[in-house]
Amino acid sequence: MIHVENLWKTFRRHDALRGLSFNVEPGSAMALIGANGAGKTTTLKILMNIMEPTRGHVRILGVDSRRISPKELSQIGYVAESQEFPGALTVAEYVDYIRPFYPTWDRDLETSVRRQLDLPPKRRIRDLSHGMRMKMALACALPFHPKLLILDEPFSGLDLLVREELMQGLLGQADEMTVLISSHELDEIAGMTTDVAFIEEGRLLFQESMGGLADRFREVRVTLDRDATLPIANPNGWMNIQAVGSVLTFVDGHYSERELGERVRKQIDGVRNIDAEAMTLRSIFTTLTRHARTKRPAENGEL
Amino acid sequence: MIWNIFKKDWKLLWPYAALFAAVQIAAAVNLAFRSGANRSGAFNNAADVIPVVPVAIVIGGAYLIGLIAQQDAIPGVRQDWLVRPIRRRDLLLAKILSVVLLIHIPMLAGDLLYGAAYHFPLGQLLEFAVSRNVFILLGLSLPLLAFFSLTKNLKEAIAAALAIAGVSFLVLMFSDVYHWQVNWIYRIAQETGFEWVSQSAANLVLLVGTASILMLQYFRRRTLASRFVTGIVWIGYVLVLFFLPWKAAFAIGEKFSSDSGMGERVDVSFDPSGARYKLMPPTQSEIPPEMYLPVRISGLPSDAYLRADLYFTRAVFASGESRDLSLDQKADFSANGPGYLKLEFAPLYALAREEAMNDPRVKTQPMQLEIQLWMTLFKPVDSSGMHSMGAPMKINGTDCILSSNYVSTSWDDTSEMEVQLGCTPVPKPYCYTAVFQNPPAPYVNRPSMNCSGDYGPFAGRLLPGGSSISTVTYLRDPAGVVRYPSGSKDLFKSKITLTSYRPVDHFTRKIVIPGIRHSEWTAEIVPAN
Repeated sequence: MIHVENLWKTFRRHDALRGLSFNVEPGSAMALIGANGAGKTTTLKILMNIMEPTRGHVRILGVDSRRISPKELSQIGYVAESQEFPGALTVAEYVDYIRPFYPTWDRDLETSVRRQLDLPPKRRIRDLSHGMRMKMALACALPFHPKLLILDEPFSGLDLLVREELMQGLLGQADEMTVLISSHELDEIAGMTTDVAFIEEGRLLFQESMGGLADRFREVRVTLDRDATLPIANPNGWMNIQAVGSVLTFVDGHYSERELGERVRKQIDGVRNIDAEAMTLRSIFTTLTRHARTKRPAENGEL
Repeated sequence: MIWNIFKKDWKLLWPYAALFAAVQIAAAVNLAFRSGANRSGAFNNAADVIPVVPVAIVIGGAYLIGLIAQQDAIPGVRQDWLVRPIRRRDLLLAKILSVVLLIHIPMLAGDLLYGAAYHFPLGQLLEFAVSRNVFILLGLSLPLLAFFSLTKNLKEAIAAALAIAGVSFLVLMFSDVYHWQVNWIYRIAQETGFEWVSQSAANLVLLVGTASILMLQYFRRRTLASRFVTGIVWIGYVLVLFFLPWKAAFAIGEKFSSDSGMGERVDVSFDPSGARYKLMPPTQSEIPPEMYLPVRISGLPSDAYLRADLYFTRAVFASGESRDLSLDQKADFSANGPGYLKLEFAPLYALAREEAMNDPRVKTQPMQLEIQLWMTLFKPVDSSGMHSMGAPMKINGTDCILSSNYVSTSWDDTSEMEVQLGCTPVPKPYCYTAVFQNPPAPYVNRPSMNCSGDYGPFAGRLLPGGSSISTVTYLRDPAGVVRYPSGSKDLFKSKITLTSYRPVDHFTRKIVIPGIRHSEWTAEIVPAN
């Protein structure tokens, strides 16, 4: 569905993307995660041919993104936090305006989504709150049964209720679509994504299924029979290592229930007890971001 | 989808469009009433005949075009249209449609309303109003659309416009200061009958540039490249408009001659036996330094009129040295026989004139003059008799509404009776001579042709401001001096024949006059009445 290969984007002297590569398979829901400035929005805008890449290739729906035509755009729903709408139109007028552009527009679905998202049809777009505008954008991105839905920070700045409504709107249609969503609101997207791609400073750190990611990361707590000290060299996959009294804690990025004890004991003497706890996506993201910022680029690839 | 995009723009912009249309119509009605009140008076300015577009309307129109373009701005990465399945071609055509419907339809209605107040035939008026609107669309509205397509919002547009205005001001200052100097060196086409060539070429540059920018922007979204192209187009436009070389303009004009070759037999030669030119005494005692060279015209078809649009004179001295002596315009010959070429010593460029006049060799040594002439042959189209305080009349099928005339007398050839007619649309062609039908004896007519505008094939049709017909009549006394008899105001009562001409051929001639002296061919002063 989406194939990104060695993508570079340079703004003057700043490299926003540095050889980014990833794939989005049909039917999957990929979360593009990364801190602010990691290059998520730039990547999505290149996918939509809003920006041109400096180098590299992007194929979307089988077409080079630079040659994307109305035919492909009529199959892509796009919702972005920063999207600008004709503010003087009412919601209903705006929907009336865009409807003819989509041959597959489903009026029943339009009515259903508008009702579900509780959009005021006669209100001018400029009078809508940010959350309402995002809901309207989503309501305009779903009724034509897009093959691909691209969401750029859709939950940014929204209160819990609106997020919930948006999620419900999305989940109601998500089965039929491939979804690519960029966000740093990781908890909200955890329930709807199948895969995750982690970007840091324009590079892909890893791309993995959500299940694989959850299985791979554990917060490990090692109790020693002496005062704990930090290892001289960080073992492969250990992050955020801390020693407090006789307890050593770290995040293991290569967790395996069978091998954990052996791996720990190979590094540390006097192990009395080892506990490993599953992590939330938010915790994994935070750990990875901190770790990426303290490591050289070459080491990041090890993750 | 074009109509769908237009409908969206209309919903967003109709208050501005309605205001613009109301101002257009109100201006036209106001002008019609104002001019209607003056119908018994005189039109001295052709602009009065055509709806004048006040500056406010131009600015309002530009603002509206800016809004049209920026509803779906090209620069930027947040616009909604970028993620919609909208064909770029449809978007461009929708914007052009908006410009036509929101700007030009009200303008057209204003023109028609104004013209209808004068009871002009609808067909004629419609043709003129449509061609005027097409001209403004291509020459102003679309370039503005291209300009606004380079900007995200009006703040950006205003900043860019101020920058362009600043640069243009400097260019015009430069042009104004150096215009004649450049003219002297390169002989440019501006302010000649071939100005239409430089204007057309400049408009072509503008049109091609506009098309390129619109294509680059709407099909490729290359704002940086488009801004670069805009700079190049603007420089090209200014250079071509102000500095197109005369020879190039004349050569293009030759290609468009309607009867090429008609002037083949026309010959212009120096006539050393010709009488010296006569002038009434000047108020100051000094004899004017200009040379009047007697020439003889032959091969001119009967009823044709010959004009040397531009003639350039070089002096070669006995030592073999030479100097550019004079660059002159408009020497007219109404028939075969004697005539004069007046050398004003580079009147187009004061510094060059002073240099030529202060060269001691010019006034003291015999010299060979080499005169290159670029000439135009005219044939008559129509002839109409009228009282000098004439009533409404038709010229070449065009209604001319009012006429006025007055006599101004001075010591030289500026003694004249001016005949003015305000015509809408301006008839084609619009070069005219006016002669008294029964000149009081012993005075004789001296035909003098005047062209409003240039020799452009579309002159009078596409000029947005229109123009009046204005020409002069002269009488000459038996000594050949131009002046009017005493009580010349009685001439207001006499009849005048107005003849219109069209340019049919352009060609060049060269005259070489060996061994003449400046002092031999200055004017001879004759006593006043």
